[in-house]
Amino acid sequence: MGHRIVRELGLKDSNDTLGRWMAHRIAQLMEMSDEAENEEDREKAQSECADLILRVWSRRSSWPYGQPMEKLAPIIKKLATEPNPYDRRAGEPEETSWSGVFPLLDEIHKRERWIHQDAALAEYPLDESKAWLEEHGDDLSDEEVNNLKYMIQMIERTHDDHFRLGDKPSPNFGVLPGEERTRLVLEALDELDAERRRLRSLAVQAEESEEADADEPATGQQEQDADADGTPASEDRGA
Amino acid sequence: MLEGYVSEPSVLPWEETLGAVTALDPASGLALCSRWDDEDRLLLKSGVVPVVHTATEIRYLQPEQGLHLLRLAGERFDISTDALSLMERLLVMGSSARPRLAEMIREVSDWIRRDILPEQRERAASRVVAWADANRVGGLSGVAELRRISRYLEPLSGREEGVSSYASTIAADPEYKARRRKEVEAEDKASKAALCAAVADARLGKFDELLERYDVYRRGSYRPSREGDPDFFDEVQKAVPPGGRERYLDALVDLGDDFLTVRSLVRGVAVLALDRALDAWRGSSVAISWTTQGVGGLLRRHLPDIVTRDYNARDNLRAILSKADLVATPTSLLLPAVADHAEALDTRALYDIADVLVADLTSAKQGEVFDWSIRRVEEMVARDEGSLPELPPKQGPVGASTALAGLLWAAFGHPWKPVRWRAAHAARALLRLSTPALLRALIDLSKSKTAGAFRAEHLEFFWMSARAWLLVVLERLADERPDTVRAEIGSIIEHALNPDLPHAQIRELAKRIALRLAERDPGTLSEGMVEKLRLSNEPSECLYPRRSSYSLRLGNRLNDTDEERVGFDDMDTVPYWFTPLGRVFAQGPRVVADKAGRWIVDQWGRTSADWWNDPRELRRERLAGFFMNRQGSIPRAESLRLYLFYQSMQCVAGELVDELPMLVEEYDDECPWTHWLEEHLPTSQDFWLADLRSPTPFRQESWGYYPPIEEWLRREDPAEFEAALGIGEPGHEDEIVLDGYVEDWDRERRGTMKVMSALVSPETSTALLYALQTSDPHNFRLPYEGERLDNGASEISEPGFVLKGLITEWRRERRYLDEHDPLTRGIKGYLPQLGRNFLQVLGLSASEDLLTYSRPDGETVAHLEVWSDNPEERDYITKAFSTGERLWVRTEVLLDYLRRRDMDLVIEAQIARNVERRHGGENQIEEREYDLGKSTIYILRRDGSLETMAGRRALGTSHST
Repeated sequence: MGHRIVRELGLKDSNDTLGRWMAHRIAQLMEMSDEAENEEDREKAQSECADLILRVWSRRSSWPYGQPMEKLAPIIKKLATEPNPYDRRAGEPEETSWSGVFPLLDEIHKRERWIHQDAALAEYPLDESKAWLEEHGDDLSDEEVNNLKYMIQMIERTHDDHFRLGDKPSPNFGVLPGEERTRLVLEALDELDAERRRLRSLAVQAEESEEADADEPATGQQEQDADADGTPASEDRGA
Repeated sequence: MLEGYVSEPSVLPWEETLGAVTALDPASGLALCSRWDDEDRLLLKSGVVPVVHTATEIRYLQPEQGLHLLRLAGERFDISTDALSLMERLLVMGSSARPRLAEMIREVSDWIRRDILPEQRERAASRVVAWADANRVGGLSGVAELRRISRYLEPLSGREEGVSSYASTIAADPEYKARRRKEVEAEDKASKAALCAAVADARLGKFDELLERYDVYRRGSYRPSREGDPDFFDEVQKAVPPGGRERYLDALVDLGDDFLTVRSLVRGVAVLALDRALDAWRGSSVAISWTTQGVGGLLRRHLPDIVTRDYNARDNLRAILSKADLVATPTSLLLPAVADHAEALDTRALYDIADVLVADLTSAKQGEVFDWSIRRVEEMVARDEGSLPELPPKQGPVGASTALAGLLWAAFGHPWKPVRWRAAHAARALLRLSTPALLRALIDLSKSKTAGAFRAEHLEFFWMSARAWLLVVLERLADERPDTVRAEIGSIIEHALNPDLPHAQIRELAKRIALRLAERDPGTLSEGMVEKLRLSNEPSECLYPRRSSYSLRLGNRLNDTDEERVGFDDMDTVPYWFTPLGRVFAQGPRVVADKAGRWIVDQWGRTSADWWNDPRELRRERLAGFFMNRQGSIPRAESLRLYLFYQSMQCVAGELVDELPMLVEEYDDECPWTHWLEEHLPTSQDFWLADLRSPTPFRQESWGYYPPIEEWLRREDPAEFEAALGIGEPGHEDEIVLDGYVEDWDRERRGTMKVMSALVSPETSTALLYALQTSDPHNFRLPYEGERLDNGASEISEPGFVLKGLITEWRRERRYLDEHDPLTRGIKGYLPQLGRNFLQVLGLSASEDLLTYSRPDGETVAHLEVWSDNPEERDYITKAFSTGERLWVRTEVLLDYLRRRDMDLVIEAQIARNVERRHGGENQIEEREYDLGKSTIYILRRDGSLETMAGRRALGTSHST
């Protein structure tokens, strides 16, 4: 276990003796916790272990090297951070990379969810729902009444003149005939699919471009060498 | 005198002559053995042995003096045989000499255990032990230690073949092994068949194919004879019927015409078989009729094959010519053969034949021949207008002290530094014998510029070297026997303050001696003199402000060469000797070279013509590599040229330090003058590096006993790692190694063993054990006390995680005068020491020589063991040896320290083992990855338990728990 922690902390080939030592102590404390014969010992081991894990993590920033997560940190940040609901995403990603397009994909996914949700709600008969609530409201709990009211408001939304399906204006969507609604829903989803494909291709292009850069001659000397061989430098680079 | 009139100088009995001269006049014997060395006749290390033997026999030298003088015999000399005769002389003096005998046995014991070649030790120890037991002095302390060698080696040498390093133990490639086995089986079969056929032929009296069958029998020359195999010619001879004997004898001498076959058969077979057959059939009619004619025929046909380039030639000739049935004299048989083959006989063969012939003469005839020979040489000398040697003017008997001093003084000025050092060790021991007359004589010689009859008259005597080495000895003596040296302090101060020879090295050594004597007895010198000495040979001021020598553009070459006057070389001397010296005083090499030139040419009257014709250098062309100061190194041997360059540099150094301020550069953290000077002085003021060496420890590898190489390379047995900690090693039952480094070598192995240790916080020590044991051992290093490096070797002090060094390192990075002392055996100035905290906590004190640590009551609780059997001057390794240093601490003391510090100890034992590549033939062994080392980590708890990843157990119990 200690060896595994060392490896995962990127300390395997470093000369950070203290880091490795702490990792093995964590493993030892975990084992002590598992094998403790009474609660007091277990808690003591767990507490020391938790404390040590925090120390290890706090040391991480001061380690001279051996941080394989360093490059992942911004990606993780993008993936894990809850998006700000008021932060409307622009149509273009801040960065054309897999992680760069992710917030926009997230946005598309969110819109898709709303489209499905609104399509489902629009099928629901508004008047019947209102009547049922009026008839049985007294028999329901406050929470149930509030939930139903919320649902009715959401259905009413689809009947509005300014309703938008996904991000597309769709006035009175909820009162349209079923076939028309289905057509609008599919159109909206197709648009999202197209946008999703566009973002994917942006990320792929960015990756390919990076690889091509790495293959290119690094110095002017190499270009000259290529010329000296009789091969046009540009042709060589192109190859 | 005879040297130029003999065809082969090596046949002259140099050593016997020295013995005879010593018997006639011992002082002349001592002088002659030194002078012959200088004249390139007989090396001092060979000549000193018969001289000591005779000089002690006639009681010119005391046995102890003889013993110490034998240090000059070099490192390959086995002291044990000569020591016995010296001890014998003390033994017969009776009980009054018993303390002297005890002391001598102790010294001989140390010498055998530490200084003779490892492969000589067992036999030498047994020899002395047997003598001591036979003379009822086996209980003396030195004997007990020698006895332990035999006891230790006896069970090891009794092992099966193949475990000692002296036998090849590399596992062969299986395919090669199988093929070789088949070949051997086929050869064995053919061999047996050949013997059977030869015996069958012999029974029939047929010998036409005798030698061919023998050739098949022995399966070519590469097959070593095996014990138990029948002797071919014995078996054949037994089968010969009486009627076939003559034909058999004829067959033995009818060896064909092939030169190499004949020579091989004559030496290996024919002479021996003939000898045996003629002995067996002595008195028979065949023997009587065949011997004279047959032996004569053999000699006439094959004399050169018998005698040329064969160390057994005399014995073989004597054997053939001593047959009972010979009816002719050896002379009558041998001389015609010599006449026939005169052109083919080399000088040595002729000497061998003459030696056999002379035995055929009566004593009177022998005397006549000798007279004739002497007369003939004298006539030749006269004809060549040469001169016969003049006997030195008789000065009356010269005392032993004077003669010894002359010999030592000459050796101090020897071109070879190892000889100077051997003389230094001998002199130190001789002067410890409380012999003021010897000291007085040496002090007198210290003012001399010659070595009289002790060196060649026509060759330069290196008197400044001699003076320096004498002072090196006196520096030790001032420390060890200050009372002995004190009487001579006046002469020593003269050297320290000598205005005519401002030789920095000599002045510094003399200054140190005088100050050491004053320190030991403050009344020895006046305060004013002490102050004067302290300020002597030191710069009086420094340049201010500090600046870099680079900014001064001093350069490191002479722009205009001075070929005619001196011709200092711009390759080594100027950039690496003169430039660093000049830099100390902000001067360029030109200033140093000019001053050095004045010393050499104007003061000493030498020019380049002298050293380019230096006979010593010219006759040692093969050893030119030793006469070099490549890149500033101090040469192992001095030619006249290097001697003058070096000594002039020392004189210039003295002038500069007297005249100029010193340049302390911006980055200098030590005195540049001291830094420059220390390379020309012994490593320490408290000991010579060689003093640190202990006898070889009782580790099997150190005595050349190894497991088979495949097993050795695996190093899987935990006991091997524990052996690195010294656990279970004889004589160290209650001790453990805290720090050490060991190298094991033999002709097919290279092994290293490293031990390091540090204090660790107990609650997390197990985690450290796992952390280190699962790491690449090259990603960490346990820290020394106070160490803080970026490479992972640092003390750690975090809550719950404390790793503290308890060892420090005594380190001398540079080369010192001891570098060429053959008794240092290449040990380096990197030695582990117990750290300050360890000493403070336990109230221990360290000895000045770094070797022992004692409690206030004097009890030794830790010691440093340093050993080396490295033969150094070797082209390749043929015999096993080891070197190492280990810091041993008594276990109970260590545990006490751990308890007081409330800490555990983490220990790393690392072993790396590799095969010498030269032995990796394609059929013998596959290419191996170089082994960087594998470690085992131990935690030694305060309660005395030892923990590894395999578990925990009491220290000293089996590792298998």
